[in-house]
Parts: sequence; C-alpha cells; structure tokens
Amino acid sequence: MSGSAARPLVLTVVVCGASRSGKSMLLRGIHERLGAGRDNVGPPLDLNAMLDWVSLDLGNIGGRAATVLLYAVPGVMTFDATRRVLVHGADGVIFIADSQAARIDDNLAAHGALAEHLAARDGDPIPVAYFYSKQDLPAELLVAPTVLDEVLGVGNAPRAVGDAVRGEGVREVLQAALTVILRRASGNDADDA
Amino acid sequence: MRVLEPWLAAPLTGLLRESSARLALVMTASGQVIAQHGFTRSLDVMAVAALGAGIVATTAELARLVGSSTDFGAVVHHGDRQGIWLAPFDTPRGRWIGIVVFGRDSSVGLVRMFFDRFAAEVRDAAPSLTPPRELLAEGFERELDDSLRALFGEASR
Repeated sequence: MSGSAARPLVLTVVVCGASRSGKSMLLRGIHERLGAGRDNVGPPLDLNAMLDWVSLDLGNIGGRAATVLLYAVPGVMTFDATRRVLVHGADGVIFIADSQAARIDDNLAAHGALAEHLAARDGDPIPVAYFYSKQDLPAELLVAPTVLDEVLGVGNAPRAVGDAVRGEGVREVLQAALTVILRRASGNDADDA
Repeated sequence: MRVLEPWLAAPLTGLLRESSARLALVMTASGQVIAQHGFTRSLDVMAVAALGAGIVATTAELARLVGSSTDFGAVVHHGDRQGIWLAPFDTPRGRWIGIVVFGRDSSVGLVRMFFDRFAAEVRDAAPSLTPPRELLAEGFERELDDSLRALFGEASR
C-alpha cells in the first residue's frame, strides 16, 4: 500500500485459486460489467495466461482517493514465482474456490499453496476473502458453501458465493474483501487486534 | 515524468539525463508503478510493469533452479535500434525494479553505470521508515459501498 492524507491510497489485491476456478473470468466479468472504455476502469491485460489485471478507481474513500489494482494469478505451477512475488506485494487476497464437488482437491491444493506463500510473507498477515464460484452450475454438481467453509477453514473471513460469468456475488466479494483490506491497510483494524 | 513520491524525481532525472534513456519505469517487485518517464498511456505503463515484474520473478526462479546463489541481476535486450535494461535493486522500501529503454545514442555500459548510481541514490534518499498507518475517515465503509454500487450500476441503499 502507499499513501498519506494527500497521497492516493493504492491497494493491490491478488486473486488466487485453482486452475480454471474462475479467476480471470472474475476480472473480465468486472471489466465487462463496469464497461470498457470508462475512465475509472483500466482495460485488462491478456498476456497469454501470464496474468490478468484490472484497476478500479473508487473515488474518495475515507478522505483519500482510493484505487484498487486487481491481479489474477495463474493457477498453473509454472508461474509459481510470479505468484509468490505478487502475493508478497499484495495488500489482500481474494481466493476463488470452484464450487464443483469434483474440484475440492484442486481447491485444497491451491489453498495450501496460498497458505505457504502467506506464511513465507514478511510482516503482518494480510486479509483473505473467499469467493465460491460457478454457482450457476446444476445443483447436483456443487457442494454447499458451508462444506467449502469447513474444508478450507474459512472461519470468520469474508466470503461470498456467486457466478463470475453473470457477475452474481462479484460486487459482494469485492466489498467484503476491500472493507477488511482497507481497515488493515489504514490501521482502522487496530481496535480488533 | 511522473513520480509517486517527490524524492524520486532527482535520482530519476539524473539517470535519464546521463544515460540518454528514452523511457524509464520504476516499480515495486509486485509491479506497482512508482515512477515513469516517457510513457504516454496508462495501459502501456501497467503492461510494461506487469511484464517486467514477471520477467524478474521468472529470472530469479531460473537462477535458483540452476543453482545460482544470487539472482542473475540485470536482464538486457540489445536490438538494432533500441535496447532494454531491466534490473532489480534493493531499497529501504524493499526490492524495486527499474526498466530503462535506450536508443543508439546510448549503450548498455552507459545505462549500467548510471543505473547503478541511480540505485545508490535511491537507497540513500529513500525514507527508511515505514509510512505510518493513517486512519480513514469514519464511515469509509459506506463510501466504499456507494462507490462499488455506482461502479456496478446498482442503486445506493
């Protein structure tokens, strides 16, 4: 994070998750919903799965001009180094869990890798918010959100369920994640410690 | 030239002047841009920053895989008409990355020399303290809610 009373508040949020869990779809969905070409939404990069990126200009938040940079980190292990760097430089993480029962092991592997990266990170722990994707699929393919809560050990962390393709739950997870990230980044979480 | 923090302007100006660089970008290891000169579009800046951070991370990992005890340091591409210098350097604020694009009126050696000087000046000039956390004004959650609802085209509550 960077910022002071006169400086902008720039937050970097890394979107992690298993391969094909919906990370890039989430970012592209955000970009499409917000409208390409708008001044406050940067165009996403398509770097052949290297990473996707969207910036959001939130305007004045708590007396400071706030911008959020959202990066989707590829799930394939080939880019492990990139992922590590991004996680180390992040103010917060949104973990995308695929809601399909068949993907639970993939979710667990990705979540375990994230936990390793966060454990290796210097300084205070950073917030992690959860988004359970692909809720548009037939119910018989899905596991209940409460099951994912338990499997991933979500605890009191913010989370939302939805469908990145249709944009359901996207604003909710962004808001939940940014609230805890802003609290931590600005020191407003001091009372919670 | 655009700099996020004013104290960076002098070292970067020196690097540009002495090395005859056309473009320069300074960013954190995660790709957050701190200063830039010569880029005219924000997309270009962010694309170059993202690619640069990826290259440095990938190169460091490659060094580790082949058993190098240290990073490879700078990555240089020297084309017919222009060259690119890409190198990480340590600062009191953590590891940063510099990207310098130079033409025929400069050289790798020149860029290297003045980049090293630039990195040293940044190390000396960078405020070493961690910026104090500053409380956001009360009610920022409501402003966040309003901002996101506006961005997503939803009515405020």
